[in-house]
Amino acid sequence: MSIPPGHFLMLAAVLFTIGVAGAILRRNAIIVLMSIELMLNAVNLTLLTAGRAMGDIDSHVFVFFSLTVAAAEVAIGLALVVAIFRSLGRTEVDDISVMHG
Amino acid sequence: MSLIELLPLVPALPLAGVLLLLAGGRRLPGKAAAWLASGLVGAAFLLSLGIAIEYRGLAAAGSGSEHATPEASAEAPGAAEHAAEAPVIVQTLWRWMDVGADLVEISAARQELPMLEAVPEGAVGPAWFDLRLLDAVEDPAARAGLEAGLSRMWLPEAVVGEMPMQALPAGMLVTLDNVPPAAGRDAATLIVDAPRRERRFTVDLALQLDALSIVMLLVVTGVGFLIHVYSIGYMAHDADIRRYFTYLNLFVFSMLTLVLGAGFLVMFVGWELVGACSYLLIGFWYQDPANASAGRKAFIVNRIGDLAFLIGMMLIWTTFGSLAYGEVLPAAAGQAGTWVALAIPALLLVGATGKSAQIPLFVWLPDAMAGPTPVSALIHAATMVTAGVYMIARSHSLFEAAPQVMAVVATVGALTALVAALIAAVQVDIKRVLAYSTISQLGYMFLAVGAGAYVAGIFHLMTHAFFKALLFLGAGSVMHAMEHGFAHAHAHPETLDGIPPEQDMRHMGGLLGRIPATGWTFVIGGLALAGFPGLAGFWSKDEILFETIARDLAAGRVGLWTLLYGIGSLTALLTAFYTGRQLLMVLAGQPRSAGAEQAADSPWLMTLPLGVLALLSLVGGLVNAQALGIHALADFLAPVLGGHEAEFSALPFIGLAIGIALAGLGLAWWVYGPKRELLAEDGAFVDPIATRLPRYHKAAWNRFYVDELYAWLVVRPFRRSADFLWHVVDEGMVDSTVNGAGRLMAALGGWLRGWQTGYVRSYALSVLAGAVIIALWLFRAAW
Repeated sequence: MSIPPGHFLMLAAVLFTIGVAGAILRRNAIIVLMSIELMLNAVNLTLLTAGRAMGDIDSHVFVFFSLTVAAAEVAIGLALVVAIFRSLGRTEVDDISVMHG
Repeated sequence: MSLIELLPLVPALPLAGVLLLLAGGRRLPGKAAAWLASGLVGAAFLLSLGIAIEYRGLAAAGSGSEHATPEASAEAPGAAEHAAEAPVIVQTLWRWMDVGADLVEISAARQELPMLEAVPEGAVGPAWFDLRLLDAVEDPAARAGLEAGLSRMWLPEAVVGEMPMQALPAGMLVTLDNVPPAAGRDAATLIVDAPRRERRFTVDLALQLDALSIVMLLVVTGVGFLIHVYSIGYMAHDADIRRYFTYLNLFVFSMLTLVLGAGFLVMFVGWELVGACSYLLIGFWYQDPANASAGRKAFIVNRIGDLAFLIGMMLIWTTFGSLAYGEVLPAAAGQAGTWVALAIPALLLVGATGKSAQIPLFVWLPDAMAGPTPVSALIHAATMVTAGVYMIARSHSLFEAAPQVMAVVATVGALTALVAALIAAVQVDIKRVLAYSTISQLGYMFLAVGAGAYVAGIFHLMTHAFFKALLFLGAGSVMHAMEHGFAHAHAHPETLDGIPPEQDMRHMGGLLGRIPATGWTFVIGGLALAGFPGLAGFWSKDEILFETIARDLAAGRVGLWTLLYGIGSLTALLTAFYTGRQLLMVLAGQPRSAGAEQAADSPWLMTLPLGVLALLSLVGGLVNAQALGIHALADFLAPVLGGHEAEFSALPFIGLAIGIALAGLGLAWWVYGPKRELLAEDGAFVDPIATRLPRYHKAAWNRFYVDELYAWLVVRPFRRSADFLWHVVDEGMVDSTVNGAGRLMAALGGWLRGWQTGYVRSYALSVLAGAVIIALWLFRAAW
C-alpha cells in the first residue's frame, strides 16, 4: 500500500513553513542558509510527489537539476559567510546591512 | 571682342576686391588695401563706361549683336517706335535653380492624347476633368502618360498628390486650375494645356543690360569710385581701414547685382546683400553700442519691407510662372483688374518703402548716420536707398496694371517729402539735416514714379546721387576740418543733445573762408539740392513736379495730382529753406566755436572727389533739361521706361519753380543771414524758429514723435509679449513642468529608499508577501 500524495504534500508544506520561519526569524547566517535549503527541499519533495502522482518523469529530472543548483548555492553562500566572518568577526545577517538606502 | 560680353566682370571686380581683402588684407598695409579696393571699383567704372558707349552704338545701329540675346523689352505705348532699336541684352551665367523639371516631361507625354469628351456642362472657372474619362482613352501608352501626369501634377486637392491613379475613386473630379474656361474646348485640349511652366520653377543667374541698368551702372560705379577715393583720405587713420574697404567693395558688388539682375530673385539677392552691407557699415564703429543698435534698427525695419517684397515675388511666380523680367513684365498688362494685379505692386511698394525709407518705414535712415560719413554718402544717399525707386521703375508695367497703387506710391512719396523736409528744417546735426533731406528727395522720386514719370524719377535719382553724395562728403570734410580745429585749439566743447560737437552746426559758422575747397563745393551741392536755376537738382525736381501736375492738366481737372503738386512745391520751398539754413549756419557769419576758428581744409584725396561731384552737380542736369529742349536721358531710357511727351508748356511751372527756390533761399537768408545774431547773450545758439514757432520746432525737433509712436505701437507690445512668454509661459509653464517632473521623481525615490533597509530578513519578508499574494491570486478560483 502506498502513502497518499496528500501526506507528502503536507510534509512539504510543513518543511517549507519551518524554512520560511527560520530564514526570516533567525539572525545567524548559517542557520538562514540551512533554512533556505529546507525550503528548497520542500519544493523538491512537492515536485517529486506531483511527478509520481501523475506518472511523469520530467519532475524527477527537475529535481536533479535543483539539487545541483542548491549544492552550488550552498557552496557560494558558505564562502560568503566565511568571508563575512573574516571581516566582521560575526555572522549575524543584520550586521550585513551596509547597502541600505 | 566686345565689351558688353565682359558685363559680368563689372560686379566681379569689386567681388574680387572683397575676396582679395579677405584673403590677404591683414598682410597688406592699410593704404594699399584702400587703393586696391578703390582701383577695382574704378576699373569697374571704366568698364561700365565702355559698355555704355558700346551699347549706345548698338542701340543706334538698331540691332542686337550676335552674341547677345535680344528680347522684347517691356514697352509702354509711347515707346513703340523706340523699342525696336534698343536691345535688351540678357547674359545668362548659369541656371541657378530648377525645380519640378519632371512636370515638363509629363506634358510632352500628354501631347499625344486623343480627343476626349466635351467639358461637362456648367463648368465655370477652373476646368474640371472627370477621371472616368480615363477609361475612354484606348491607347495604353497615352493612358499611362495621362495617369502618371495627373498623379504628379500639382493640384488643389491635396488627395491627388502622390497617390497612384488607381487609388482614386472613379468619378472623382480633379481641378486643373489656372486653365481659362473656354467654350467649345474639349477635355483633351484642356489636359494638353494644363501642364505648364508655372509648375516648373527655374531661375537663371542672368544679367540684364538695357538703358535703365546702364544708367544705374554708371551711377553706382561712378559715384562709388569717387567715394572710395574720398574714403582713402577720410579713413586713413582708422585702424579698421581694411575691414571698411572690404565692406565697401562688397556693397558695390551687391548694388551691381541688384541693378544688373535680369529677374526679381537676382535683384532680391542684391537687395538683401546691400541691406547686410548697410547693417555692417552703420555699425562699423560697433564699439559704441549706439552705433550697433542703429545698425540693427536699419536691418530690422528693412526686414519688414523685405518680407513684403518676398511675398510679392511669390505672387509674381504663381501668377506669371516666372521671375525673369523678360517674361513677367510684358505679361503684366494682361492681369489688370485682378486682385493679384493689385496685390503684387502693393507688396512691392511696401518693400520699396523699407529700402528707400518712405513713410511708414523711414525711421531707420536718420539713425543710419551712425556709420562713417562716406558710407552715408554712398549707401544712405546715393545708391542703396534709391533701390526702391529703381525697383518700381524696373517693374513699372506691374504698377501700371494697378493705377490705385500708383496713386498710393505718389501720395506716399509726396507726404514723405513734406514730412521729412519739415523735420530737416529744425535739425542742427549737419548729417541729420542731410539724412532727412535724403528721405525728402526719395519722396520726390516716389512721387515721380507714382505719377508714371519714370524718366523723371530716374533722372532725379541720378542728379540726387551727385549732389547728395557731394553734400555728405562735404559734411564729412567739414567734420574732418572741425575735428582738426578742435584738436588744434585744444578745445573740448561739450556735447549738446547727444550730437558730437564736430558735426553740430551750432558750433560752426564762418567756415567758407577757412575751408574754401570744401566750402565752395558744399555751396554748389546745396544750391543743386535747393533747386537753384540751372543746377542739377533744379532740372530733375522741376520735371517731377511738372509731370505730376501734367496728369491733371491732361485730364483737364483739379484732383489728386494737383494736390500732390502743391505738396511737392511746398516741399521745394522747404527744401530751399533748410538747405539755405544749413549753408548759412555752416559757412556764413562768425565762427561760433574754437573748432570753427581753427578749421583747416581736408587733404586733396578728399577734396578731389568733391570737385568732380560739384562739376557733376553743376552740369549733370543738362542731360535732360527739358526746358532747353534737351532730352537725351529721356530718349535713352524711353525703350525701357516709356516716353512722355509733354503737351503743355512747362514754362509757367518752371517760372514758379525758380520763384519757389529763390523764395526759400531768400527766406533762409532773411532768418539766418550773416547779419543775424544767432547767439543769445550767454553764448548759446538760439534757433529763430524755436522762438518764433516754438510748437512746430518742438514737434519737428522730436521728429514728430514717430519713433515714440513705433516704440509704443510695436516695441512695447513686443516687449510685453516677450515678457509674458518669458515669465508666464517659459518660467511658469515649461520650467515648472520640467522641474515638477524632477521633483516628483525625487520624492518617489526618497519614499522607495525607505524600503531599502539593508536587512536580509525584511527582503525575505517582502518576497514572502509577494509569493503569498501571487498564490492567493492563482487560487482565487477556490474561493
